[in-house]
Amino acid sequence: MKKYLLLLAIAGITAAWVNKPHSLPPTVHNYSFTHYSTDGTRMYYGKDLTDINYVKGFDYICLSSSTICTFMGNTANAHTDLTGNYFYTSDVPPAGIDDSGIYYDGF
Amino acid sequence: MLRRLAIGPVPGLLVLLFVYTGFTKVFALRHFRETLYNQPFPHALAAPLAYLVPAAELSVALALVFDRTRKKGLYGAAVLLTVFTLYIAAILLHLFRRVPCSCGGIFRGLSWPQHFWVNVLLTGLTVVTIAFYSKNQFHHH
Repeated sequence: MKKYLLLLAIAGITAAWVNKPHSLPPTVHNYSFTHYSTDGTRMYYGKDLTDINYVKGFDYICLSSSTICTFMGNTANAHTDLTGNYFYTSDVPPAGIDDSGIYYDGF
Repeated sequence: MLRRLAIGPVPGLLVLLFVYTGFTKVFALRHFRETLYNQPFPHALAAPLAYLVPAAELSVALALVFDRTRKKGLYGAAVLLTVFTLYIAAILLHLFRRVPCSCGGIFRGLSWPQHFWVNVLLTGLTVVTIAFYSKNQFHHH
């Protein structure tokens, strides 16, 4: 066994402990506004993710069209839509509409 | 020079990488599981992978530390890095329904293409190191 490898392993454990991700405290996120797609067939709920301290690139990621973002499912938070129904954030598709009501498919 | 670079720092780099990534997941297992639930594979896979991925990473790191098992550790590292590189490639080629958040890994600030090239580099270094190890053992026997 090489000693420097053991030292690197200890350094790795220390770095992992220092940089471990912190879960957000349990809260309920109510989605604050709603839109209909231009053809009127889809309704979407929206919320400013930065408003709940989500960090771009870490908690959520935006596709090439920067108006559409998808975010990670955080089970520490209960997510409800405007009707009060709970949903999994992992089920949120990377599609949506922008503020002018134009629908983007995402792909 | 190349041989020294490959055999010297590469196992150390891999130990640091896999210990760090493995323990980051162990220390925040729930967070890692949530990250997996946001990936574009079936949810049924998320729960077992939450345990299997850190276990595999830490096993590889442990194997790399000991002289007797270092070669096996290098093969394990090559397999893990290759699997993850192929997964990123599938994301970049839009083989999945959606692009997941790239937030679960060690390089949180990196985009998927940057992640891909870092993984390609690490996989290449690992493969070169395995080649040097094999050659070294061949000459000794």
